[in-house]
Amino acid sequence: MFGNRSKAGPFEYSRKWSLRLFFMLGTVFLYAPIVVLIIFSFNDSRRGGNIIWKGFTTKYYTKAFGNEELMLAFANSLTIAVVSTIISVILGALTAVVLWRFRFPFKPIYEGLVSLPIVIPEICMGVSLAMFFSAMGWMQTGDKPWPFNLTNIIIAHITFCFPFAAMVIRTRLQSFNREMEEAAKDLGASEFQVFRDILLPHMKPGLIAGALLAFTLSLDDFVITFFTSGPNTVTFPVKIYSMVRFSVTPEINAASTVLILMTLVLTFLALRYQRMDSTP
Amino acid sequence: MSKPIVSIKNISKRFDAIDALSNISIDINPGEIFALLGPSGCGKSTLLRIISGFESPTSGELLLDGKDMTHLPPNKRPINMVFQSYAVFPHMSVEKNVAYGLKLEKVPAGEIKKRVATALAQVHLQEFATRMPDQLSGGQRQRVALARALIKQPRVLLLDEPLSALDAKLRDAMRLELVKLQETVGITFIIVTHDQAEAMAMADRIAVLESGRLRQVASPEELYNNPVDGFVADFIGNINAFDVHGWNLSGGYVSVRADHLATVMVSIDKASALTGSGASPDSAVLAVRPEYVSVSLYPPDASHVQLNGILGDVAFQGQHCIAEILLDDGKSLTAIVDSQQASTLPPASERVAVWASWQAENMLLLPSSSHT
Repeated sequence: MFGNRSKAGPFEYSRKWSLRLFFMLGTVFLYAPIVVLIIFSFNDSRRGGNIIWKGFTTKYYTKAFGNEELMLAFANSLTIAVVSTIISVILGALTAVVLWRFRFPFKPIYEGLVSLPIVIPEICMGVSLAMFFSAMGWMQTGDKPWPFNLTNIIIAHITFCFPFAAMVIRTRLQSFNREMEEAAKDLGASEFQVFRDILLPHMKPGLIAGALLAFTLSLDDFVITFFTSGPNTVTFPVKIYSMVRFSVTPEINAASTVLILMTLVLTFLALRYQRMDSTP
Repeated sequence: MSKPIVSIKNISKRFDAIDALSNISIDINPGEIFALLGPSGCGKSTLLRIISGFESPTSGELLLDGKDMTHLPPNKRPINMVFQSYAVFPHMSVEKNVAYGLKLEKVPAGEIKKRVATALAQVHLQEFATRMPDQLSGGQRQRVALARALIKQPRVLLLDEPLSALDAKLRDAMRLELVKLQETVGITFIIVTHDQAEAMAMADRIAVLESGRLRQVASPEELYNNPVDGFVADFIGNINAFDVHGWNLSGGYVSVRADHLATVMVSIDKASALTGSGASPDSAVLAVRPEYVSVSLYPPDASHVQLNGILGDVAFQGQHCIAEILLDDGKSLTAIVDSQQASTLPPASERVAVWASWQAENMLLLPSSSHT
């Protein structure tokens, strides 16, 4: 109808140069540091802070993977993430079903309490959990054999991961047609059979999305982990932090790049599964 | 008469302060198609949910084959339902959907396979066995829901507004198909619908409900020819109703004085308003169906009931037209005229005076709908 060169219409914001410029500036501001970090993980220089390009190398990746302490921290992080994800999703699913299915007194208050950990500043949660663990005398779990030395951190991670899982699963449940449940019962299914055969398959995309979200959150958490880990248990983000304090080498860039990549892939998958919500 | 398969006995249902159903009693015979008909909010769906077990009545009881099942949960009743939204399980293929009920019964796999094939053949879905529900049309999904319920060989099949989600063409075809299917399987069907044409075309008997009360249970012909009151008469087809001022009994006839009309003689057997406790002219209407009313530009035969009005709009319906005749007090009358005659009638803008007339024997003296 209109030529390509016509003046931008009143709502065609994407065709206005001034707005395009702001958009690009915003994007650069947000992502340039990350891109630089990734690029310099391949820099053949002894110091990560060095901004002079000295040639391409992957030796810092080899070095990072060869760093035993870093790998132990990575193994710790993965273990924590896997365990707390499983427990978070189970708790989250149960919470979501209860909040979706039943009416009970003070339900709004309970709903608010469940999502509170999402908005509470991490530092506050970290401090309160640290106080809790030391009051319980659990701060010394670092001396216990692996993986029991991670118990504190796992408990802490569950407290902030499960509300996210619960929210995602709850959203998914919203699209459930209650007539499905009645149809199954009508065909002879018991409560449990309805849950197993009808409700659970419907929840699946939400469960997967919730799990991936919880996993990502747990994997890169720093603040709460820092407060709740004993002196001898180190996770990946905490280890990187201590390496940065010691000296900045491209090895840290390499390790961070690996972490970014993992988070990115998992977030992408989580979004993909959540988008399946729209199809009934 | 055979023993009823389902007996609804004095069933009432209250939701908070609202009477959804008050004191309903119906007997449903084995092998019939029974329709629960009424406008939305009349309680027909609540009654269906009570029969299926998803609601329990506040009082009254429900018998199946003479045995009480008022408080049996839905998964223990030999009754199955086709839901309005069909509720086909989206994560199961067509055959898995149909097999689900038998799987719960722990029927051996070989027999399930045989019965699924039969059920799918009954609803003409053989080629679709491995499809997923999102690859099916609305009509096909309904067939899945039908097969899924029929495979359980229920004593009674409940259908909640089975045709409402289909487009007009498919609806007519499905109407016939459901009737044929019922004849083949011989299972009693209870259909909930708000569409009187649908109920008339399919059902052997119809229960008309209005605001939680049962108005009349009868065959379609009986409902049409001898409606129990003004509400039923107007819901099953249409009526032109005139307020009654008074009546005198003389022999087998009532002479009735009503708005707009000269005294009309109505046969006793067409005067249901005379029976019952609260019979009085104040709560009665004299009614005639539009299809008995003829419209003419000249005065009709003096033996006909007649009145004068101005010709309003004529709506084309295909074979026939619906003509509106405006009366002097702002009321209007509808008449069904054949299209050929309608084409000779002048347009509404000319405001031509016409006569509407019909024979007295086509009139019904009915209680108006408000009293009980």
